[in-house]
Amino acid sequence: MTLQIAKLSSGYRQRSVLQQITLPPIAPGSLVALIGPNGVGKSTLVRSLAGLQPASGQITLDGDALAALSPRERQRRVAYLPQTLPQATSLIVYEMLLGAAYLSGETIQAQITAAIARVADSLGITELMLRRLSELSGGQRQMVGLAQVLVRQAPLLLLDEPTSALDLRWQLNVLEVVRSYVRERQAIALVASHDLNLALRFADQVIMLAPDRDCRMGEPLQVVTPDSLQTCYGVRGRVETCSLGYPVVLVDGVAEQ
Amino acid sequence: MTSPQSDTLAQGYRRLWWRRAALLLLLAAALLFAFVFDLSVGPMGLGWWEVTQLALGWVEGDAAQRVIVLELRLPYALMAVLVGASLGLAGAEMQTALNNPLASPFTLGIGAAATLGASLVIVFAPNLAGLSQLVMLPLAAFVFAAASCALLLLVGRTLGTEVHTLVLFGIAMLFGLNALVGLVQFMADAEAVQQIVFWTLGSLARASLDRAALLAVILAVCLLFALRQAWALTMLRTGEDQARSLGVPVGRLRALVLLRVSLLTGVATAFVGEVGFIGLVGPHIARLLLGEDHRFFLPGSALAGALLLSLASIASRGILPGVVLPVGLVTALVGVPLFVGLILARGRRAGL
Repeated sequence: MTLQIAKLSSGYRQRSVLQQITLPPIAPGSLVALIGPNGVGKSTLVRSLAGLQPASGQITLDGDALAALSPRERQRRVAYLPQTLPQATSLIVYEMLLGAAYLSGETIQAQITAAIARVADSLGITELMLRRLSELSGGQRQMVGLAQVLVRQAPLLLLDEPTSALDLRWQLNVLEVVRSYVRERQAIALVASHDLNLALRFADQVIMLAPDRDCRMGEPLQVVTPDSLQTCYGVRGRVETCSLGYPVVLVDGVAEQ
Repeated sequence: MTSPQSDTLAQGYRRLWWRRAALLLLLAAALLFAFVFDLSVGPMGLGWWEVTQLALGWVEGDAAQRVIVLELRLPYALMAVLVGASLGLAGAEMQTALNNPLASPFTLGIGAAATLGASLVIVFAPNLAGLSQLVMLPLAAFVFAAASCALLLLVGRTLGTEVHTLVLFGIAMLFGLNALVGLVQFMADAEAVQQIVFWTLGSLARASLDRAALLAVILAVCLLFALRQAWALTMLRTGEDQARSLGVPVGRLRALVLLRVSLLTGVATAFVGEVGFIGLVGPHIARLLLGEDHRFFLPGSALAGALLLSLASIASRGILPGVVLPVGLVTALVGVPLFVGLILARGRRAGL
């Protein structure tokens, strides 16, 4: 289940956002962080891979070109978590996951029930499952949205800022869950994020999109460097190792041009 | 592989499912009760059991009873149920597809388009092409309602399916069409104006069994197709991007919903005129009772709409003895307090 991206271009009516992005093959079982400053095209890249944004170029998953798949087959293999939180409607969380499981083509009731229970348990949201979305907080809705994606059991996860509304504990929890999902199934998760420390801590590979349309991918510590922080984010920063051995990004200030 | 926890979760959901199924049945039972009561209201002094027997053909009854129950009251009561169900279903689908709790056939100008069609026929073409008004009026109302839906769709296509744009356009269309109806009224003579006003009040007096049968077929077909898309519609409630991510073709779904809405609204209003409140409130009642799983919400909205209009039909003949008030008026008079009560009850519960 290798993901390959070659010469991917995408954008909006007047403005091209991504130009000719080519990346090294992404191996199965890897969690890849997608980082870069605001407006650089993280969401556009993720949406293009999900098939929700017109794009040119080749995207192949396990040798199959995604563009050639039927929409149904494509969404069975690619599960995308939008940046926007699920709406606060009177829908029950359980129904939300049930619908996702049905629409992904799962038909065996017992399997659906088991998958929902497993996902709810792993994310620690079992007690939210029979409540209305409108009763949940923003962070809880984000967790529930992620549960809706995980329950589809797709081999490629595209998560657009899955931790933006979460507190510290849940941020760690969510990324732990995604990492073990990826490891167990030899799946691939592409996680767009603003949190460089989480990226350094959990990602096997990091893709950094820079405003000058430069795009590099590699080991976290090779990609996130004082140099790239300067060129990409325009800040003076350091990457140091904390007393427990985790790499940490420290930002000292805005870089002078 | 199921842990005790997964069992309790599944059981919890199953309990919820049964509760909703029971509520749906309760709504259906209430509707049946209202329908039979609607048949028995009137100066004949027939009881509900006699009426049921007459309607089902179990007893012959005398000629007067048969005429009154089978030929006058039955079409009237049936039409109330069918029109209410059609408008309830149309409103529910619209609110979901346009992601707006204020969407309904009458708040977005589809009903106003039907009124414009009807008033044009009343004023300018009472006997066009040898067709009587009995045919021309519903036909024009339907054609105009369908045209307004087509216009909404076209705008959706050209401007992209940005939902708020569609809703705003629908509201603009409502004002424009109302102005045109006003213009037609301004140019009409007093008798025509009276007819138009009567149309806008909504009345079941034009009901007949043929028309009820036609509407029943359309309602059944639309409900069937809507239920086939129940999960897609349900997922749309979690968000447009979420639904797209699940492979729901949102633009196409929206177009199909508007097509069904134009059919339901066009035919229903063609036969009874404007009954504006049902399409807005029926879905809200269903949502409060049943939640938004569309397997329950869609039939629930149809039942709630039918129940509302059936109750209104009873009230329209029961409030002033000997007078049949326009049902559109009564709907609002009966429905508004009921609806406000529901909102207040929910507000209090949510506050706790």
